[in-house]
Amino acid sequence: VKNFKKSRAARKYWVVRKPNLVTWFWGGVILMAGLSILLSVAAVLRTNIDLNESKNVASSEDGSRTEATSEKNAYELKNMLDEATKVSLAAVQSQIGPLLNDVYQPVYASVPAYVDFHYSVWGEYAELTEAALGDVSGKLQEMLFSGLEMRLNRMGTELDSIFNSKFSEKLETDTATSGGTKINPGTLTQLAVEGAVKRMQVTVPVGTAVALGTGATIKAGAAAITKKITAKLAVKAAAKTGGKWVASTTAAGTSAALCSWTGPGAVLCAVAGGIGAWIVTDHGIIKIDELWTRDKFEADLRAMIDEQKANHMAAIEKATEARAAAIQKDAGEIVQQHDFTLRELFGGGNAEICEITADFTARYELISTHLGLREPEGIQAVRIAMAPHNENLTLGPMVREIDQNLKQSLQVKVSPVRITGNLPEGYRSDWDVSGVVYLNNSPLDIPKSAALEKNGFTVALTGEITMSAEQPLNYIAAIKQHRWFLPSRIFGGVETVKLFEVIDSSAGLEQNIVLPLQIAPIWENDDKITHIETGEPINLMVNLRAEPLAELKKAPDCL
Amino acid sequence: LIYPAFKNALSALALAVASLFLWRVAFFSSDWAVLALIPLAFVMIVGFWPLMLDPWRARLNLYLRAGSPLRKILTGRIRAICLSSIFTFVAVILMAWQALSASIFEAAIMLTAFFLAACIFSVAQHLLLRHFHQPFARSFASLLATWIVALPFTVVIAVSTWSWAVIPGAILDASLQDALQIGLDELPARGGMIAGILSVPYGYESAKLWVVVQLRDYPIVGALFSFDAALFSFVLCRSAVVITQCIEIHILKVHET
Repeated sequence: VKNFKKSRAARKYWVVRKPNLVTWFWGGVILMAGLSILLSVAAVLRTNIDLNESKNVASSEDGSRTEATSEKNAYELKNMLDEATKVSLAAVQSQIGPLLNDVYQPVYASVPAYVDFHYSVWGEYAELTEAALGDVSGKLQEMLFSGLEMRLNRMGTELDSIFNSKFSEKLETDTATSGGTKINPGTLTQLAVEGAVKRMQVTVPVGTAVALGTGATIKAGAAAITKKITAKLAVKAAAKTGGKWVASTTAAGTSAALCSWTGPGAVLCAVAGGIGAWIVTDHGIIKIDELWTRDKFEADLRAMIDEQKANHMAAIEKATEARAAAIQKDAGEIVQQHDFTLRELFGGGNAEICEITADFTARYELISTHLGLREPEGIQAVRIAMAPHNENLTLGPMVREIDQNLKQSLQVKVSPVRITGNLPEGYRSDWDVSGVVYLNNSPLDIPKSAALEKNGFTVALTGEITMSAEQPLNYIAAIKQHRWFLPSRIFGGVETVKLFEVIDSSAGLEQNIVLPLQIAPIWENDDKITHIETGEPINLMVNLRAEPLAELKKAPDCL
Repeated sequence: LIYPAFKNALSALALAVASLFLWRVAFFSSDWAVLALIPLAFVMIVGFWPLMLDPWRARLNLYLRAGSPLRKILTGRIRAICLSSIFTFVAVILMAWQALSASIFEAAIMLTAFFLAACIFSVAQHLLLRHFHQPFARSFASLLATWIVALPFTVVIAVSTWSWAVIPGAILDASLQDALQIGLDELPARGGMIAGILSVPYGYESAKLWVVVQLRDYPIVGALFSFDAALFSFVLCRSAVVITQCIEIHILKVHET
């Protein structure tokens, strides 16, 4: 056997008899792949079971063992945020029904009063008049839906408040415990949770959605109800008119006979009798109609209100779900922010954010302290630069704060300081002058002051207007020359200036600017002062003053 | 030339992916997951053996005179057994660890490196056989494929570790012990021998991260950490070569000329 194994024939035998390893190889690979798939499926199923079990265990555990400082990892944080969203959504959805009942309670309570009104002579004529005028829903809106919009808006705010408080409460609880043990949440976790709460408060609030949707929905609902009522009214009116004409014509004839003793007043007496008969007949018909149809009408009305209420319920539920979905989406970004990479650790991300922060705060400071830099183009450039960071978790709050504050940046106070100059050649003398300066149509008096033929006048002015610096400033001067024993002469001129063309951009928040103006004689009864090309030049000095912008409170801490 | 190389590389990749993925899926349920690594380890040890033994024997043939009794002692088998076992043990542990902790992006990078190394080895061996005898052609091809692929991929993995590898925020204010715990928390709570073995790379990685976080004022430390993590690409490429080599000889039976 030993010799055989060493022989050439044996080697050939073993080579020939070598097992086919290709089959084994690929068989093994396929087997492992199949097992992997099976185990993956089993793992998914197992995860679901474990989740349910862990919930049960967590609820039965007494959670106060030891206290330790701990940061939540990204997975835990994501679970925490998702759980808080679910709990808040459940809390809000359980409140929609009761709150909506409260909101609609006054509507249902007003139904009998509205039905009384509808089945009255006055009500019928009021509704027919409204129908004739094209505003069929006015009385219905007033009697049934008065205050509904306000109550719905309040409900939206209340739902947001419930959502916010539940979300914060749940996060607070979960942050302070880990597997049933009380812990001190780490700084990063606290920051992430604070960020999540702040972000959640501005993420598609239900109140806003309700406020945007309710007005239109109520009007649509009321319109649908009134459409049905109007159609009914038209049928009823047509049916009743024939009978009433017969009754009132008969009554008018009878009245004419009865009133014949009144002589010339017989016609009027007959007409009054006819109208009275019309109304009495109408009242009778309405009462009969009420007897037959009131219950059905009231039931129809309630059904239509139910339908509108159901629509509102669906819209609010949709809004709450949309909010929860948006918050859940945000949670992913918050978690991503929570963990870090080496690049960020060594300043890649942080330095980048701080660089952007420094750039924006520097620009903001300049705009805050320099009126001349508040020109719309400059503000727009800052807004464009900030836009990509609007949703950034770190920069977003600061960007939104700057955007909000910049809205106030164009407010400027303009106060005239003095007006100097002389009247046109040939009109100069030592007579006093007075008048009025109009700044964007706001009149400011020029007090009566002495003027000299040679030196003209310099009059100090008081008063102030507030305007938007992006609007042009229109200024008018009307100067009256007071002549002894002779009629006064009036001189005037008008000019327009774009403030940012005359403001010195380096001068800060307050500066005086001189506005040139040309005045020419005008007739006293001339109420229009137009641009004067060749008048006498005078100067109106005005003081421009702007408030510094609010200090930034939401800039990331980059110290 | 290209098609057989592609076929060999794909086969090697299929074995590695199937084995490591099954390990990844099964490990969080049971220690029996280690069975999934046996085919991989077996192929590696069988593949590494001739890479160590054949060049040694060739050299001995040159060094020793015919009839020397040393020929019976210096067979090189013990050396080959030791080196094959050590390499297989270390490489399988490292690959198993990476299989558990790698993200999809990292896995894609590593599989690309694996596939390229396997392809280049097959092509290089074929080309080198025109100039060198075996086992030297195989040895040179193995060396060439490892360096050609591992070197650039060290940079790629280092950059990806630096830029995208996510580190848990908790490690920022953790003590060394906490940091180790954070690393070990990624292992299943059941303990056992497998978890014990894996706790070494997990703990080592966490400890390194902790040092990096403590020395965050020195970016060079972070860069060193990234490069250290990227050195795994050498082990990976070498493993790819070894597996391909085994598959070529024993499974697909490529005839050497």
